[in-house]
Amino acid sequence: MALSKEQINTLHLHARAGFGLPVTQLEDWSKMPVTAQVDRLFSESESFTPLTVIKDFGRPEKVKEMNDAERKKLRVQKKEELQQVNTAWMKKIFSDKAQLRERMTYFWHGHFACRTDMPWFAQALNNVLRKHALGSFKEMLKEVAKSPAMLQFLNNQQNRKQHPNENFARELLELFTIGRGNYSETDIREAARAFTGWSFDRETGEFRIREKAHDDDPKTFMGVTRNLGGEDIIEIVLAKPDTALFITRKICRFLVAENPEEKTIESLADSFLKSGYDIGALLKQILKSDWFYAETNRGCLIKSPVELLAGIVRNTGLTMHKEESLIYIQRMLGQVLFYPPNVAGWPGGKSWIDNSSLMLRLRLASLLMSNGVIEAEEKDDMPEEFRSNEEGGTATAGLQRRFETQFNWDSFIAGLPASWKRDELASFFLRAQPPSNILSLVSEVKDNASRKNALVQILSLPEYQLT
Amino acid sequence: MKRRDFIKQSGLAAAGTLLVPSFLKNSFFESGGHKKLVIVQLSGGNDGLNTIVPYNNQLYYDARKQLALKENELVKLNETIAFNKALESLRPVWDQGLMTILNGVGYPNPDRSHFRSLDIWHTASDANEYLNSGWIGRYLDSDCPGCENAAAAIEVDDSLSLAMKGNRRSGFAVKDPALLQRVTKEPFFAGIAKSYIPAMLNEEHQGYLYKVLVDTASTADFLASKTKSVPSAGEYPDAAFAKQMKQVARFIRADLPASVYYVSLGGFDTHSNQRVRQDRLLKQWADGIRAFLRDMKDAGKLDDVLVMTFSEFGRRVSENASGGTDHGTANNLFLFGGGLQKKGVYNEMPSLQNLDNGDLLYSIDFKRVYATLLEKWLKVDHRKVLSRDFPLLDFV
Repeated sequence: MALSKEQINTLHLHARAGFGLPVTQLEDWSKMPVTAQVDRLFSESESFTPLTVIKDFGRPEKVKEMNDAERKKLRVQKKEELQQVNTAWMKKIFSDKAQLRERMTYFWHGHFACRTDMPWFAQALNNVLRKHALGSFKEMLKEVAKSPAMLQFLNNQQNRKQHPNENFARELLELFTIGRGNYSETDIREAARAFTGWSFDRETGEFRIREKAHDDDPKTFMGVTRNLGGEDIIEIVLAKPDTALFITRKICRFLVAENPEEKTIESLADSFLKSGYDIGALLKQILKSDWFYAETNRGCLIKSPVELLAGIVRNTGLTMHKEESLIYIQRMLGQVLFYPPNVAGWPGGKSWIDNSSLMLRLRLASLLMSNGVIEAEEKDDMPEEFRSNEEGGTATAGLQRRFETQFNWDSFIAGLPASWKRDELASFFLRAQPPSNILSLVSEVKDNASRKNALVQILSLPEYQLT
Repeated sequence: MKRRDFIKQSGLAAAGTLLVPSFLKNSFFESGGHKKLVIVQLSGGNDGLNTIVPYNNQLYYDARKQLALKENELVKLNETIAFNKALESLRPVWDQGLMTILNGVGYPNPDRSHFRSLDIWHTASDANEYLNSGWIGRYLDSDCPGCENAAAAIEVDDSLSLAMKGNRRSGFAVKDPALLQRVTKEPFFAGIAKSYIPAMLNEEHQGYLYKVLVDTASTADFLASKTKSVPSAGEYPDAAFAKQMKQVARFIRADLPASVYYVSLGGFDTHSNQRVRQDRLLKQWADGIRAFLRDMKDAGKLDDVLVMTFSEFGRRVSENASGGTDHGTANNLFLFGGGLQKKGVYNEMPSLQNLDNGDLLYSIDFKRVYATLLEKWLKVDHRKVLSRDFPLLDFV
């Protein structure tokens, strides 16, 4: 018996608003209408826990007094801790009940793209995003702008009255709020002046404004002239409808389709602006709309590496305890959490796929399920923190890795309805359906052995790359 | 039409390449006239002023009290310029006339955002234009000889840059061909590649995935079989960039039909702590280039190879308050190879006095460099690729 329309809608919702629905939960969710499911996704995300894997704020000051051996020890420790933050979050994504919140934390993580070599800062910023992921964009933006991770990444603690550093102001406008074409170079210069002195306490990591470094002369930003500070800049930018448009468009492209109709975006953006940038309200509007469930918007997005990996874990129940394996897979797939390629985040879509990345992705599920080996080399632009080879950064050719996964065929199969044959399995795991002549290459399900083959093959189809 | 018949019937063939049908062009290049362009991208905005240093200019020291290189950190080339000592392995390259420096390369209304400026360099657009295709991709689109090959342009990396993506065709990203081939030969995938019918897929991304799969399989086969027994010569340093150049050398030695190679080295965005980071990266770059040129010389291909190194922008003349520099504009651009016509310094360094709000003024539009490479080195009509007519330079 084929999957019902309700079941298919449910799978579509959870693929976009979460990281995929395990088969054991299908019955429980799909008996509710999708609009009620959306409400339930919100209520299950109401309470949440922050990442707490990093206990101490590592003090950067003392580094100057250290000798070489101490410095090396500190480097190694920092590297381990950064990996810990990364893997702690990956595991949260795999299994946290507050799936919608983790999903949107992941979205904001790509939006407020940032790199820091301080594990405490990375964790703190991630928690800011999680706290506000479904709440107020304004509050999130203010806290992000004051986070040590972002201030450091965009060099703002070096933005001083005598020597302004424009990096922070530029990215704030270009990438985080209103987008290109809606401000002038002068606006950036003036905004930079407003943010001078925004810094953090080196002992505690807490935000503070360095009065001596702050330029409190009048500035003119987007037509407003007075002694503007950083918060004023944020207020002015958020008052612009173009900011609401920019953010709304990005969210629509993340949740629905690559090229949504402008009219739809404008209407949603208008509500978003009027709501005072209430993210939850915007999401509810989208996830409860007919547009979201339209045929053309299903299976039309290419999964990011994190989405692909999380989907495999949630679909098959496999676990990965070895932290190095989790980091390694992210590296090989081209997306490492906490390490975006640049401040614009990950471009996404077709850019995840080319001749070399596709082969790895197609084989990923099967390799993980059989604890297999990938022979491939590491990309050069990873910082030392995310490389797992020895000190000195020597390149190792043709490195073979085992993943150390725990995967149990019996429990995986036990969770699947016994009556499901090839078609049902394909409908469950794939959000886009393959042509019949391709599906016929997948084993028919006649017994346990052929069922196993069918499962591996379905997860190896190009359609499994789509969400 | 056979070659002989064509020559008989056409009478006196006109000289322009545009009138030469592709089979004739192919055989012309088969005889070893095929030039290779190797593009090296320094990502992040390399600080040109601390790379090629105007060591006799007081303004340099005035603007960079912390960052200016000291005398013992320089390798003097002539009365006006010196290498950052990190580039000392390029000294013999310079002395042998295998290097040209173009100064003040940039474009009008420069953009100081990485994202945008890199797009501009990759797509060869104007500062206010947004193009979705890269210049090498469009070179492939222009039906250059051999460009119908899936691996006519190869990027030695795990993913493909925008520069390599055309409207119809794209370059091929691969770090190790043997590895890739092994992967595509697995039975299930081989089966999908064989059974796939384009017409049966009506969703854009779905179709794209299948097409990439099929192309990858056949190209991997081809590359692996051609490079299987090719060694590379000489010592390469044990760093990632050098490894990539080594792979490029192997591909060139294997006589692949590829005419363009692309390699990136990142980390040049030195807003702070510049001296340590930039010097380290420059050394990696210099050592890699040196080893590559030696390899090509050994293979007898040095005259057919041209390496171009660029960065998406230079950096501001004055240092900032944290031992670094902020995004700037014009920068130097480097050419290496045996076929250079004008060696050494191609043109004057930009003035350190006459600045644009603290930034260097450009004197050579980078699209002229592209036009020259397309026209004189790769032998295609640059207007087909760049949509405009640019006056050519004469470094080659």
